[in-house]
Amino acid sequence: MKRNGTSSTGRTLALKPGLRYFLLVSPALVALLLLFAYPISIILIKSVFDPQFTLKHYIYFFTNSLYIRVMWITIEISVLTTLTSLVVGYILAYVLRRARPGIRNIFLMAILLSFMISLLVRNYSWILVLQRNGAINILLTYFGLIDHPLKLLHNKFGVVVGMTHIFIPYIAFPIYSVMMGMDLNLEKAAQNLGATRWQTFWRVSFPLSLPGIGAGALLVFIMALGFFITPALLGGRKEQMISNLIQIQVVDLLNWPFASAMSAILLVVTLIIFFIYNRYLGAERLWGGVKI
Amino acid sequence: MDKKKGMTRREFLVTTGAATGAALVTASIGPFVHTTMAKGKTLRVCSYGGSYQESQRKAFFQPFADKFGVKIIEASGGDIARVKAQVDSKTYEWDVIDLETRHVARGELENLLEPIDTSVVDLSKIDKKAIRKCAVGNIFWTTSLAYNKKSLGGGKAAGSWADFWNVKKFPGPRALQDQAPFNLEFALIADGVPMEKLYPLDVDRAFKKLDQIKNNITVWWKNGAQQIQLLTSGEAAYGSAWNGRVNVAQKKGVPLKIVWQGGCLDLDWWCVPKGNPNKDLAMKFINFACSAKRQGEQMQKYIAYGPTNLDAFKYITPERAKELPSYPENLKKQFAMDADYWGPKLAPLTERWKTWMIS
Repeated sequence: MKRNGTSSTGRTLALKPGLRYFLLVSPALVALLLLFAYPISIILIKSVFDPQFTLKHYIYFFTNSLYIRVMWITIEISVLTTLTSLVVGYILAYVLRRARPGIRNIFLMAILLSFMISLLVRNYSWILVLQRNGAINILLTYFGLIDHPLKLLHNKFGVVVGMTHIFIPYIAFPIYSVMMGMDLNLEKAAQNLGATRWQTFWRVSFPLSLPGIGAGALLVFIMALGFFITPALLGGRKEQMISNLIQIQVVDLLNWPFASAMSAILLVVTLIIFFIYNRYLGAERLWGGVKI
Repeated sequence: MDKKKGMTRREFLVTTGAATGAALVTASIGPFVHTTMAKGKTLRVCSYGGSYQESQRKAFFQPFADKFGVKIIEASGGDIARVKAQVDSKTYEWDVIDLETRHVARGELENLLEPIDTSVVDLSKIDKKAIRKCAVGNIFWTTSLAYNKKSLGGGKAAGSWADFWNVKKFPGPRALQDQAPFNLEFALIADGVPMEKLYPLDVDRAFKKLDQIKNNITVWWKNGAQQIQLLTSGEAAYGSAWNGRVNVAQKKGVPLKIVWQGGCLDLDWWCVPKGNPNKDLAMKFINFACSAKRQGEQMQKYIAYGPTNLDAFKYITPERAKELPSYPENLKKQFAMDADYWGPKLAPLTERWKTWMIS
């Protein structure tokens, strides 16, 4: 802002709050346009011009059973991992909220640290833990609990474990931040009024933490839709993700218009799910409730 | 698939870089860049990194830089999508690029590569299998059946693809790569098709044969690091694998063994992106890198792939030669991958493969 005549400038700004806010958000807006709106529109344009206007790539997608089925597998794996991440993340946040500050900080650091470890390293670590001669099978055999190694890897179980591990921070942090804004005295009050622990949880603590659940679950679900490294490494024959097929079209087959159409469809599916979510769970209202 | 590199995988680089603007990603993140000498002209070379690119650095890049006073800038992790981005935008990041066959075939189909200038590149001693319109073969490498002796528990080892399919006689978990090329060929060989009559592939017959073993394949591997990890850890007793990787593991003391019988011989190629202004120097480099002496040094000292220059074996000891895919005794047990068959067929067969995988 220019500062020529403080009082008049102050008045102008006061008179035009719209402009002032616009200027404040404009850097973010420019970044959004350059980094998101522009590339996405290029993708949309590419998907319908090859080189003349055509919808053939979209028609092909919906008439070939492979793509519909892989899209369905993608959604299924995403829903499943969102649920498992939610359960684990919630428990983690719940415990952290009630832990002593020292212990809490150690755990928070540990979760943050996991962000800094490469995705590939984390996936390979899971391979070492879950494989036929891996840590879990060795332990279970040693204690005589199993005769044959369990099949924990290269199937849906492996994928869910690997993805959940990666998603936990994304879901635990929003829930944790909401819980930190929650007054624990409310729980005491409920118990004081005769509620059991179970009733206290379901009728006081849980409803109050809903905004965090809403934000975290949506974030994780959308991330999961575009995931494929973990399913590729920890999954089996059937854990094929749509982004894997997009990558093949881009890199190996050079069919960029079709790859663009597939990306556009994935984007639309994501948006539809977002709007349904927003309609019934009110994502905006939920985010409004987030307190840090 | 890069069969030579260590843990970092170019496929994952590309993937995390996301679908859009592969070239942009390279420009912004900056690929691994290694400079050899600084004087006069510059040549930018892209290869596949790891121990493979290191072997090229010692055998080609440094000697070329010294001899011709050229500064060589290295990059790694190329594919035809990035070449297309460069050719379309006419902004060239690479003058010479090491590409796999499927990328070369696709590049030729889409007119993305310069024809080889035969007045500069001497092809007289190059194996005919390693000569294409827009590319010269740089190494022979093999994908074949491999196993870990330790995982067999003293049992007899499978010695062919037919044995690999015989899960009763040769028990043990198995691994194959999640892709149509190679696997359809292996299935047909297991079903008794003679290697010289594989192409054009009887696709229906191949999938029918694959149906027999579908549920016995424990892992469908995706990258080079994974195939060796699976065999080393015993997660798979048998699997398809790349000979260079197996050789590296053997040198580290892992009891892996490669079965040359029924192996698929493939190549990596030197190419030049279409319209590159530095084309002349690029061709000169390709000629240099394809000389018998240079290739001989590379294969003898640095990496276990097969030279494409037939005279290169003069510079390789007999013991070392036996480990290489294009050693005559090994060569006659294998078939050569037909890139021109796969070029136009890759898209429909990849779709059929993936459909087969999920059903």
